[in-house]
Amino acid sequence: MKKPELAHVVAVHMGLGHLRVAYPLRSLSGDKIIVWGSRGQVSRGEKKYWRLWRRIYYHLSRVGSYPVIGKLALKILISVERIPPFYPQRDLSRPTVGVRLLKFLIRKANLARSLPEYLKGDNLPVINTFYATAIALDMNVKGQEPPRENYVIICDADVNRVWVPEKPAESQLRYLVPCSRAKARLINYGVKEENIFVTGFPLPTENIGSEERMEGLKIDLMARLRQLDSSGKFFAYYSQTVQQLLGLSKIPDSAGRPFTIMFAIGGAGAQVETVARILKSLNKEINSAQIRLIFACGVQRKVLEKVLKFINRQGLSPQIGRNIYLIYQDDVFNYFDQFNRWLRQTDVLWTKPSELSFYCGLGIPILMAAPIGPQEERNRRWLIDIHAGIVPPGPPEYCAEWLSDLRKNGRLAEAAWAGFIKARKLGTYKIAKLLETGQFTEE
Amino acid sequence: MLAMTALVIWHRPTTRQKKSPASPSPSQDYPLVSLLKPVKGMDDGLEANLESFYQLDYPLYEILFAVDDWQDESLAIIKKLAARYPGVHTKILATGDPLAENPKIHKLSWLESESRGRLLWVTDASVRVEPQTLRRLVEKYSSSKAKLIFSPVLGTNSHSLASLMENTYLNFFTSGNIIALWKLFRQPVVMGKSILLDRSALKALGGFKYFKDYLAEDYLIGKSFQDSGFKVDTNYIWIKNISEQASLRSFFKRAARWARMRSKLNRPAYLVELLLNPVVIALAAMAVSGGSFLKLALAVAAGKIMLEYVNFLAINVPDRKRLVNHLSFPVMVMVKDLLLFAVFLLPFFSNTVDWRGHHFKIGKNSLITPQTDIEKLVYEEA
Repeated sequence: MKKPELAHVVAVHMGLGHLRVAYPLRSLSGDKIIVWGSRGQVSRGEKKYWRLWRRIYYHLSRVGSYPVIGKLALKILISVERIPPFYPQRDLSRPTVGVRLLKFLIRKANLARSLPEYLKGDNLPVINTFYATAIALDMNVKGQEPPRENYVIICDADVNRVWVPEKPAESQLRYLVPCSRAKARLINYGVKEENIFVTGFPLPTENIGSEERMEGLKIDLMARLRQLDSSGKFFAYYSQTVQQLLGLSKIPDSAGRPFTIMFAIGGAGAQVETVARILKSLNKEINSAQIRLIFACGVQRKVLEKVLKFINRQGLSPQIGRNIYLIYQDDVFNYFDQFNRWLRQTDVLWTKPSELSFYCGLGIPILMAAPIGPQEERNRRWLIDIHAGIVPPGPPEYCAEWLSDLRKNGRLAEAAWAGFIKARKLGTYKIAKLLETGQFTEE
Repeated sequence: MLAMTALVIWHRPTTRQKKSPASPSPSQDYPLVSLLKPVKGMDDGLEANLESFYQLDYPLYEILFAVDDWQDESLAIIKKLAARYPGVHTKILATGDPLAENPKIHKLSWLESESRGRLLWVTDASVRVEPQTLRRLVEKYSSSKAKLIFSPVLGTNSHSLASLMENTYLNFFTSGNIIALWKLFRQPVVMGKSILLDRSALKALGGFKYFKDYLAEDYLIGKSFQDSGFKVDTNYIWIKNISEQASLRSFFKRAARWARMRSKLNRPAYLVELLLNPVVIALAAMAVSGGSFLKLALAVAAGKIMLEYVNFLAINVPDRKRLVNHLSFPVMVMVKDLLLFAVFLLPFFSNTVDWRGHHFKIGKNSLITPQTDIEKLVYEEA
């Protein structure tokens, strides 16, 4: 049975990140996620506008791998998304060009301006996963009685000033943030502390279990730790802690499946070229069923076809469905569903440090591909700070060698454990509670 | 066009199809093949078409039919044939008619899930085959290690002027392009009339469902296979497409649908297609420059008629036995080319395709947007 609607969840299709955040919250909105900018909700003009932005985003994300133009485009992307250094701590509330441009686009170019009209049937809270819709609503909420609660989820460990309205002190926008560093940054941008809730990133509850016991997460983590610690070095130090915190009387023997790596290619397909290098290195291990590879190909047909091409080139197509699995769906929410299922059997998540960085809270070590853009740089740093992320010690074409070393020295198991211990896991539950009761206690 | 005609003649059915041995080789692996047949209504010569699949010289195969519902006119024939050939495992599914996706792919997805074969052979209801066809396709599959085998199409059995037009169009333009593009550029133009597929390769893409949002599913299947690194090949085994009593209207509609799809798949290539209609170019030149181009226009028209006639004589053996086809041929070519010019212009004005009761608006790569407005389906009083 569907739960009663607690809020509207408004996402945009600007890469997979802002949609992935929304997916675990679907139960709050009666399984309906509003993907703003898609068909049936916005005018034709605005739809084109969103599509244009999406294309630019996708091209900029991909273009990094091109020789000369790539470097230049990447510089442009970095300068647009620039996040100032955290130290020295200072007042950063002055609006930037990006903030003014966004205000102009909302006021003059009608970006997301019809959203309040679309939602006018009730006064339920709104949870946004992208700043533009949140700020468009915030501009509209002034003068509304009673004001609609308007939340925005921060999807990274640090953010650009554009996530905060021009005059933050006057804004009623509330922030749901994944970590305390993001909170500190928002305070620097002038957001009132009472409007910031460090809930943690909303992770899929189907990968956790109940809020109190986290049964699913603990079972998966135990199996994973066994896989990751091939020489027993990790358990030599941590077996008692693991038993105590996971509530086990004894450490079980084997996970009963091959060592499984999931490689997330990303919504824009930015990482697709790395697939060929990984396959080349792991060819022998895949054929001998020592390693199982899962490629998360997103929702773009071109990406799936390219991955298949690399698999065929390595003569590994007979391994599809055996030791190679491909996650692809043309519907983005079906894709997340499949992705989350496979994640339960994943031992290592190899991804650029996107919003997936926060999935380390599920006890999955994050093997970090090169970041794209300043926010991913900050996520990378956060992962390193909490010891849940690992910088690959060698190039992907030698991953068979260094993955084996990382297993033997217990570093992967350590990262999995650190993510479980240090990262927030219950974001989805905390957001639900906040909406239901209005109560929030920061840990 | 000369090259296209020459290549078609070189690979004409009579020479190529006799090269393979007459009976199955004991050393050859002949896996179970599932024949997938989406059917809707009565096609020309349906019973004989379907019966030809029950008479295949192949060790082990099954035939799966999909119809919209249990009232489909073709069911009586299918059931009769299934009873006549109990040795061939037959399965019939009623799959319904989807509103917003490719109806053929909808049927094929169902058939795929119900089938057991390592290989899937998709053919249309209008297709008729020789007993050795499947064996030869499988032999090609095994020897080439290809994951998809496609075929040129022989339009035949014309009993009306429009049928002759449609069949000539298939044999000259469509199969000409299939063969020429493959021979010269290794570009597969896969036509849904006959596709032999490796099930595991298709599964890697997610099955037929992967193509459900596109109208030009056959072309895209070939392209996706090739882009994904699965080998695609042909052994020029011609598949007969029976068109006996087509009307001008049905020919025009089919050609218009195909033209709209081609224009969405590759616009520059579509523009180049105009060169394959030199009659219209010559007539246009004559209209602009007056009588000075008359001789040239006549020569071009005669040349085009000759090429198509050579193609007709070389490959369409059943139709060349009818005198009326020879007599009407020149006029037919002229009328056809003028009609095809009108068809050529259509995609520049409209993206809407009508196909067996469906109205689709198509976008890039023939992406389907259903024309039926769901909101309008809501009961007025609701």
